[in-house]
Amino acid sequence: MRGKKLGRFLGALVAVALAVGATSQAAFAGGAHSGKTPPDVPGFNGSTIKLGVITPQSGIASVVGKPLTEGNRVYWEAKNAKGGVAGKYKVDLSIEDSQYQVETALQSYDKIKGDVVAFQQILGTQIVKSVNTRLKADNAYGGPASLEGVWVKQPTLMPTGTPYQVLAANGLDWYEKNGGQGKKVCAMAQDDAYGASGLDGLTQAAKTLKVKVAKTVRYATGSDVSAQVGELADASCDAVLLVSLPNDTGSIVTKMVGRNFTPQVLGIAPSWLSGLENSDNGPFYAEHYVWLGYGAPWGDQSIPGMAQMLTDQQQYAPDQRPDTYFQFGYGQAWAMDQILEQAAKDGDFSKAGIKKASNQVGTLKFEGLGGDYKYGKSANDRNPPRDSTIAKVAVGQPIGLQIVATNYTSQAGKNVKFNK
Amino acid sequence: MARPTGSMIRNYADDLRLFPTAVKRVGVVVLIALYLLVPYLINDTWASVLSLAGVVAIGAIGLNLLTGYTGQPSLGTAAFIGLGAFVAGYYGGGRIADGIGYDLNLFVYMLIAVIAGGAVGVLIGLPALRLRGNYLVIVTVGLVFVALYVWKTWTTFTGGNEGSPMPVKADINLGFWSIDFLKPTVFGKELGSKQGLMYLAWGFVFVTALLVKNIVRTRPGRALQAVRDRDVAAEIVGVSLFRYKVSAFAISSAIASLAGVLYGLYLGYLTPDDTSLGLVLSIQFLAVIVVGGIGTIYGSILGAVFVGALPTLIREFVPDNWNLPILGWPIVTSDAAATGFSKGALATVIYALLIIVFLVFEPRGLAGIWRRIQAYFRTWPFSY
Repeated sequence: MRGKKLGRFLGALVAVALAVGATSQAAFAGGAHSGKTPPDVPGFNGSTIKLGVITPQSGIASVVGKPLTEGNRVYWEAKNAKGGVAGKYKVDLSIEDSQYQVETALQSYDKIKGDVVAFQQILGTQIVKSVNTRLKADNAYGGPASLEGVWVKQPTLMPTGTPYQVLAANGLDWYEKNGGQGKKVCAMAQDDAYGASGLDGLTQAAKTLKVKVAKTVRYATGSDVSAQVGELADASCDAVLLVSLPNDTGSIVTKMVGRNFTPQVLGIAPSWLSGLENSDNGPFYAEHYVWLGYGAPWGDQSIPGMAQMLTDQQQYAPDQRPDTYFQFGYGQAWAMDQILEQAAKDGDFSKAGIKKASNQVGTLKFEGLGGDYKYGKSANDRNPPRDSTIAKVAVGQPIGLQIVATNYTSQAGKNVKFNK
Repeated sequence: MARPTGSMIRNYADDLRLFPTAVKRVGVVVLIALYLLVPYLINDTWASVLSLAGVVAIGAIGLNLLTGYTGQPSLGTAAFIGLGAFVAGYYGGGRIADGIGYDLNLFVYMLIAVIAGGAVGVLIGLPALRLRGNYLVIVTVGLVFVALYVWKTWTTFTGGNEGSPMPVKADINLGFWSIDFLKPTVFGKELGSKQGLMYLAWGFVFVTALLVKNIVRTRPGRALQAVRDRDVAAEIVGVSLFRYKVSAFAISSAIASLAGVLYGLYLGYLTPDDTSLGLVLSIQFLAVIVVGGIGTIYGSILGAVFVGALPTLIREFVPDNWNLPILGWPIVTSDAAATGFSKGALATVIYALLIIVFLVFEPRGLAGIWRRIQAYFRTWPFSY
């Protein structure tokens, strides 16, 4: 009997010992985490963090993809030279050429998703939308390389920059306050999601400002735009909000010049490309085109964020010419850096950890290179920057643009709402 | 007494046999084994490539019925792909979170897509009664533009310019058994969505191939081929042009819509723009049957696999910087400023060259090469 009791006692003792051992092991492991040493996870091997980039490196869209990626690369090279994330983790980019094709981009995603902790850059509206379905399924995180308003509330995406809707709203406000009051405002947009974003901003701003948009025309990118320009000319538009890409901007302006139609063109940021100021239509641009963009003007060393970018660019990409896409790419990497720093503090570079870090980071700050972006505790809390940069065309200036106003904000821009 | 070989045709029943030789029967067993095992064994990269190849193969089989067997050239495939995909988005629950559309089972919305595709195909088939050749091509090109306009403006159905999310599940629930092909469990192992889509797509490749094979090896198939070879003569001997041309359009379009459903599931999200649903998509399907072999079913499958896998093969196996052996000419470079192609550009160049080479030197495509190899070994060693 006594033997049985002793057996039970010893059994209980062993059980307690095992339980205590397990607990203390867990506590030890927890201690390691509280020491904030992130465990190895796919894409992080204890010393290097891998980020994916899915962007066109060949084909016509590579004129955007290459400088954007160069901006990403320069930021991370500079950061790595200072030690890396949390002063010790180097960042390595895994770049895949999407050729601007959705199928290729998805296959690239499937190829590298297990080797990266997050995606630094995903370029192309349809591509981002398709990849985002995969990001949601994999609980992963990525940075879209455009200013679509629909990214704002997506928890799997890391939007940066002032959305197109706000650029359009601020642009209309600026025009109204600079001689446009009472004049006839029209719009010309490419017939896709980007065009729809610009028109959405214009419609919302028109309500706030009580302006009537007299005429809206859409066109398929790369198509002949004679009819659409003709409609605007026949409507005697005084100003045209232009939501286009540079190749179409050239043909639209050529048609305007051909018809002797000279409205004030308010062009959303991607409508401009450095070099257009030196084209045959240079005088038209100089007199009638206004650029609605965001961020610090290239070369302004008085802005700390721009000064930092220029220092890094001179060291790691000395041949890089002034380029808005490079600037965007640099800012995008800066945004990812702030999220990774938060993830390093949390001791978790897993995909879920990075998503969690994005909800803890608070506000993404760029020291003037671009507007601060409030991230909040969830994607629903996000509030993008509401400021714009407004510029006119000038030969000899960086990117061919002479800044008219920086940090331009308006009630119309502040009132813009973003849907999921 | 010796039995005749499987390839010897003695009567009509012999001619109708689907798998006449032992080699072909063994081949079918091997293919079924591969179908079951391959998705289970391969990684996400190749599952992604092969599931898309399966989707393309289905559309190409449908196009081959129309263009290869009936002689009705068409560049309208993109319109039907779009129709199938948007039906999936609307009826498969892609937009149900926004309170739009329905959340139906996979086979139900597939059936809706097939019926819708067939119905639109009938409408497109009617002008084909009065048109042929280049004129018919122009009509089908017009269809792509009209469809794009419809997709962009019919916002309730497609989401307009913002596009439509596709279903996040592809499930069948029979009460006693259910499966979600985007999260399948096979042999007790949970597979990824690409592997599940591979099972689904290649299952339908088998179904559509069997359907089209049964059409083309029987009386209707001979009628379709008579229409292709000389439609006036076919009509004189009693082939109804109305019936067969319109039927070919209807079946081909229904198959393309089925491919569209799977294409939508593959993409996850679809916006109605030129890059996704434009003329280039239709041309790619045409290129697949040109490379694979016009007028053959397995040519469509070979073409889809070959064209689909080519970019990945180049990405995986060609070095980042590769010079032509001996001559040393730069072919592939990762340096944007240097002479040479990026890997993506190289795939595009090879793709274009292949179309030219096959059109000029091997109009019967990969299927023609395969047939010659078969003929060589069938008569070996007396191949002359």
